[in-house]
Amino acid sequence: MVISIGFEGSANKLGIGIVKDGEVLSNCRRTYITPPGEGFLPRETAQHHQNNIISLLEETLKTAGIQPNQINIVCFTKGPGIGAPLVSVAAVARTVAQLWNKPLIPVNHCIAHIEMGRLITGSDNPTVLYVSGGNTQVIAYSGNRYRIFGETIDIAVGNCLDRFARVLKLSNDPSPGYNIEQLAKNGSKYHKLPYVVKGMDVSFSGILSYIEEKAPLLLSSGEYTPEDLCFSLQETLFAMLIETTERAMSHCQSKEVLIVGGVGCNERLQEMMKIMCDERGATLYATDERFCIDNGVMIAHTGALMHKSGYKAQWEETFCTQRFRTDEVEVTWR
Amino acid sequence: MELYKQGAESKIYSTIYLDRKAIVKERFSKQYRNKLLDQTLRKERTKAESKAILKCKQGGIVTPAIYSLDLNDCKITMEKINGQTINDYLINMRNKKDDNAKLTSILMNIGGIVGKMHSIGVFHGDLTTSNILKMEDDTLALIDFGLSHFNPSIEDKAVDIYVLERAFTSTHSYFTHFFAAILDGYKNAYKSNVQAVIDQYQNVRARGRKREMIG
Repeated sequence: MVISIGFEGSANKLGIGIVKDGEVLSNCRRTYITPPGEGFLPRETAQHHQNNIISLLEETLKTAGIQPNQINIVCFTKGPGIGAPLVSVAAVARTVAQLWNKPLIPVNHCIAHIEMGRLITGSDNPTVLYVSGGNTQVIAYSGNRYRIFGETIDIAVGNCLDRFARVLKLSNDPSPGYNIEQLAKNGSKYHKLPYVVKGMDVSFSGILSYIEEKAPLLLSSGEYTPEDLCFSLQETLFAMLIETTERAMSHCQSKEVLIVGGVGCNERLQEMMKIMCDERGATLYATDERFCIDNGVMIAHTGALMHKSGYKAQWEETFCTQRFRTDEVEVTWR
Repeated sequence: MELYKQGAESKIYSTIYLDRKAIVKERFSKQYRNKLLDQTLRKERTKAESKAILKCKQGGIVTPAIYSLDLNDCKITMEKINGQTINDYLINMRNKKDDNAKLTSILMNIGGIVGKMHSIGVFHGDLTTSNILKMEDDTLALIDFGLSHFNPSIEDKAVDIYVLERAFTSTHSYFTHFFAAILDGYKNAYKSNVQAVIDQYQNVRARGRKREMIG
């Protein structure tokens, strides 16, 4: 039996979770929310994490009903992510690992999303669409690695949505993407946007520039409502994602899709993916906001998998890095 | 008509057209997509495909002959090329590793055909090993031009090479070191300012997200 605690803080979410052999004991999270029209910046985000992490740790232990001496391993996000928040959280993970005298395990954030998705949905060998504010990748497992078949060549899909939310001055609470999703439900008039698929890769920055430039005029002329523009943006971005996922499935002859990452809780994206899956006789696996959005449990769970497969980190390896690709990690537990 | 193959975006039927073996490629409607977007994409891609096939043919590149075109239903009836995809060919080659000279020459020719395509002003847009066919006599043919367009920029050309490299290394990792032969063939065939394309291709490779930037 392994009880594992995981610390996550690679972006504006601070999460700590405890897991016992795949059973979630607690999953606590605090989100740094900025005023409408503004994004989160590294320094302020790090400050938020520093201010909250100790009380969040107490809350996590209390919810789980676990004493520090019952914990077997301490896990934290090594990367990828934003430097200052990553370091702030890693410093605390390192400290408690030494205080409690437990092994410390550095975890790749992207792999953690995939493993948590597999655990919760029970999918076996899915093609993975990983979509969030910082990442957009189509991934398939082969030869002990999660290989990236397609990815964004510029900004992530979540970043594109978030930045359009700033143009519309939408609230960042609970997240800009959620508020776009709600508006899009009432949109109906489709405005044609650029559609950029290059082989298996996608590009979003051109679409964002286009809609940022056009939106003020389209809105002030009364031709389109903010709802229509949110709807058009979502339909275009998601169609690109589904198309590349389908190509990867066709290439790998895969019959399962798993959606992970913060944008993965978007119900319209899940609905579109479901239709695509039904058309090709495949199965869709998706999770809700508790596990799609960055959380500590996924770090704890993945660290536990690594630990059980015999992985041990040297103290020198327990640092953070902003750049840490999904395909760099050798998967020893599958 | 009998369904011959189903790809991600199209259904391929085999048929007979005026006593010749032919295929019908239908870009069928995707229910998950917005109707307007769906129609635009299917129509644009069918149009782009037929235009590029013709332009390549004029430039001396083997492509399937187009027999008929139906833009309303997004269907192209075209010649059925008898050949093996490079994808299948490489998988077969894996088991007979001794024939390296033959393999190198085929790879040089792949680079050659891509270079030729670029020098006549066509960008493919989905240059994977499944979209290059090898016929009995080792002549190569190009197919699947749905994402193509004309007058590509240096960036476009570099992206074509990069997409080919990714397809090559992700599915045929045991042949990774042979990719240089494709580049050599490309350099021979694409004469005007090939260095600019190669430099840009190096830039595109370095651009992948979250890549280590050390060294």
